[in-house]
Amino acid sequence: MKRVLWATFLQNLRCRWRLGHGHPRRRVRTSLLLGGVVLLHVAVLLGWRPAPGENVGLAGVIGCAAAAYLFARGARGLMSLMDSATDLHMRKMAPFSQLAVPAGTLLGAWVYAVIEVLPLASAAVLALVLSGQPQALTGYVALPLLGLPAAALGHLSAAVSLRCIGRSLTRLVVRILQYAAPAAPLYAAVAGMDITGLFGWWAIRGRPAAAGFLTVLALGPLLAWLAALSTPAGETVAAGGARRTPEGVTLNPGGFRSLLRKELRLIVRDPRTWARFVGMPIAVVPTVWIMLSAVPMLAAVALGVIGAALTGLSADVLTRSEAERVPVLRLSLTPLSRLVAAKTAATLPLVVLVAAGGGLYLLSQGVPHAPVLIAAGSATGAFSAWFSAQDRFRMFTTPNTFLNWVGYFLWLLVFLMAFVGVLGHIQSGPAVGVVFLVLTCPLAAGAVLIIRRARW
Amino acid sequence: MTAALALEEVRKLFGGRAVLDGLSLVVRTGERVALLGHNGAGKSTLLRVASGLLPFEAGRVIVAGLPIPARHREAKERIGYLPDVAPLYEVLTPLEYLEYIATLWRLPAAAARERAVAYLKEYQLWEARNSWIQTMSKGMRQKVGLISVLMREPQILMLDEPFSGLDAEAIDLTVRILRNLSDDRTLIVASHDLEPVEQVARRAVVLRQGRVIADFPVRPGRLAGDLQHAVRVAAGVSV
Repeated sequence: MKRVLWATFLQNLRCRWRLGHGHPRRRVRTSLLLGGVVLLHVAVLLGWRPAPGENVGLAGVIGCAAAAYLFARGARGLMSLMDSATDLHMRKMAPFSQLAVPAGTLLGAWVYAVIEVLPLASAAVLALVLSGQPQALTGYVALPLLGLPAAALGHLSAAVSLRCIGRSLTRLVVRILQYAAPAAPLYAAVAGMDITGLFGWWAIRGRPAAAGFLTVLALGPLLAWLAALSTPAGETVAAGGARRTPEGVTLNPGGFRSLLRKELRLIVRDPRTWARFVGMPIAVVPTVWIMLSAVPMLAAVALGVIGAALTGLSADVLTRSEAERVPVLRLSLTPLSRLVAAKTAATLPLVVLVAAGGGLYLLSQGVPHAPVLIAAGSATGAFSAWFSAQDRFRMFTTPNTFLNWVGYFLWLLVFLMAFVGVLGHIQSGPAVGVVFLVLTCPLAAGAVLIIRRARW
Repeated sequence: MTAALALEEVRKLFGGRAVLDGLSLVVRTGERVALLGHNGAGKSTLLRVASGLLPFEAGRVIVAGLPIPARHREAKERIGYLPDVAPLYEVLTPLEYLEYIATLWRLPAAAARERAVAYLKEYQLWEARNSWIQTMSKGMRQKVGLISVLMREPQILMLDEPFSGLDAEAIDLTVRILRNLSDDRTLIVASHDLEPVEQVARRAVVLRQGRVIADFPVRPGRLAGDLQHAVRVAAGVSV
């Protein structure tokens, strides 16, 4: 059992690395993470840290955010296990305890998430140490330890959810958790809420730290065992739902409409796709609400523009799944631009819905200019959807980390310009909006030119 | 007769390892060629390079007189390539997948419908036409993949392991379809299944470590023996 557990854990970790940060197509994400870590540490060293005596909440917020992230990763790990036909077959057929595979998966999710979280949390630990709390160094041990019960709880909760509300809805909930959970404690802290009591013990000298360590040490293995035990047997067919379409469907190829129909079918029928796609706006709304509820106008613009842009960007799931079909698509007579246009068009209804949500909220606050917000949000969202689809396709055949970086940097500028432009339009009049629109156009054109450099 | 495919001293590297090592091959229009060789000999890579999907480090690839990659856009109108694993969508039905393929290749609706229906019936997939592909067996998926290539009626068919997973009846049908291709259409099949290959191909090209080590006409009932002989000769073993 121990050897199987160890082998499964190593295999899981290896797969996570190779499909995650170690994959050539994920270099942007990896370099963003590393860049963020370096910037945070430099900022802390340069004095961007709480003054001594003002740092009471920081340890709790970081502990809470780390636990939330690990919780979401634990839940996500279970869903990945449910999707993996190989793992399911191994569990059913292999002559060892059925607990080994889920336990190995959970441990893999835990360790990998810790590797992601710890460098970021390290900046907070450094800030605490520099502001007079040297005992915060225990965070390098305490946060990983805290992660095990959190990940196990996530795995356990997803397992219970699978039994109660089914695979599709659980997938949606897990996606929302993945998007919103890690940031929620930070936003809540910014909004002045106190949710940090349970998670700051590791930076407090004396009995609270000892009690925290002991609790986590005891709870971790227990919850991990319970989580492994609760893992459903699963079925090898991943997508679930109805497996047959009604009779009478005829083959009716016909231009763009047919391409769009196929995209919509893929979205609607595969929970892995729609959960990821729909999860983003559902996660954005409460996040915006927590952060900006005190300034309704800002909240409305954030929802309308940022929400729509992130929804558009999350539509990359539609293109990511095309990896295995690249030979067919490349050899076809349909140009790449049409394939990208079909994917963008398929995401438009949700993008417009989110932008309209922001516009309606703005209207409900008695502020005019809702049409401007809806138009700007829809345009930014559509551009983001196009950008993500085009970039994914380009990365299949022409992976280039530098171009990816430059492209995403320009996209970020477009997105910020749109946000500030709409704010300026509402607060200072149309002239400001027009100036920002004019400034945004060359940036968008630059992003388009860079991202279109694909060998196809 | 013009060359449907010409490879001259083609070199393809994967991480510093030469998968195609100065490979040269000419396939004339209307020929039926079998690519044979061990796993990793370079058969699939050859097909992917020839279809323009993989870039190569050195040499020249010409498809129907069109150099690759310079005129890939025109060349791909003539190519019908089926990878070793049929690239299907799990949540589409065979009918919907074929509709998508017909759209991608801009086939006229009536012709696409007629061919798809005929092939689905011939391959005994008509009953399963509205079932999601994820519920299908490997052989059924392979049939859908084959239909998706055959219904386009391309000039140059490049099929990678087309008989893999097929039942005996489907193999016979595929062999019959491939044998009945008109003389202006070229067939290149990479396969380990010698029995159906023997019935389809008229020429065998044997690869080893990215090079052509033997090139001989296929004689009915003697392909396995001829292949063994060619491999031994190439390895320098006296026979």
